Amino acid sequence: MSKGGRNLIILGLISILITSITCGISLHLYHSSGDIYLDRSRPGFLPDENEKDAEKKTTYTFSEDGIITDEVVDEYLKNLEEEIKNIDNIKAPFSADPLSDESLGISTDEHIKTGE
Amino acid sequence: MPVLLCVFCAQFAFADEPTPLTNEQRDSIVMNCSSIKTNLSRIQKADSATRVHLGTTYQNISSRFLIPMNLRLVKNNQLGSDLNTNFNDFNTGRNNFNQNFINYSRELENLIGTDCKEKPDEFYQTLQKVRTLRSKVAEDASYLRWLLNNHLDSIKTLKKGEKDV
Repeated sequence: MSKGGRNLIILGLISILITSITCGISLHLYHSSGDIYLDRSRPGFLPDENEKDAEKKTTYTFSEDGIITDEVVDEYLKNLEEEIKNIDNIKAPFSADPLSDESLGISTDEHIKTGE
Repeated sequence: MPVLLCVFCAQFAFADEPTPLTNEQRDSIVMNCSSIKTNLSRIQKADSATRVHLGTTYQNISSRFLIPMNLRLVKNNQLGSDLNTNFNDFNTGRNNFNQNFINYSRELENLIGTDCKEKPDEFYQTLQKVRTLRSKVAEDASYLRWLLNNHLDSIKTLKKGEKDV
């Protein structure tokens, strides 16, 4: 093998090593910072198709310029209340029910124990 | 007074202690281990969707409504201390919501990774921690909703105190 060819292989290996190290550091930071839990683009957490359609997109943005009149306040309240409905659509977010013993199938009943 | 303080502290100490697992519960966990794990994974995915939905809405409300309204009120010399405090509390509440969700998710992942067939007691203890962390996320969501109600009330009072600037 020529010297140039050997150097090319060394360069390639060093590049792979540097890429692996930087990827490892990035993934570590991604996990340790907790961003991984806020990210829905990771495998297994991608939104379903019907979920995407159900999402209501808001285009309204209140202007930071101008005077404050009754009409302006009414318009602001109307649009803000509309946006707040997106929150109210989720009933009791993070309620205790899904993690209760009953919901998870952890029962104290004897019939479960005996499989009756 | 010291007696009252002791009783108060004892209540907290008691609250932190995990509820011991009964034999029936232990058997039930071992027997239903795989279905419990499936349920937990389903909850994990649903919670992630809820977090994104709420987080996006909070972000929209902050950037499209609260910030512009605050700026407009400042420009019109109408920003009251209650509106400003409410705005700051909302942003702090959003950060707490995200951080508490991260803590909850981390523990939930730990719970899903725990072998419930071999270590049902450890599994149940972790489950109790997860429940506590989940309740904090729920409190954050309720608090943010309450702040938005306060904000709406404060904005409504602007109509009565309308001024030409």
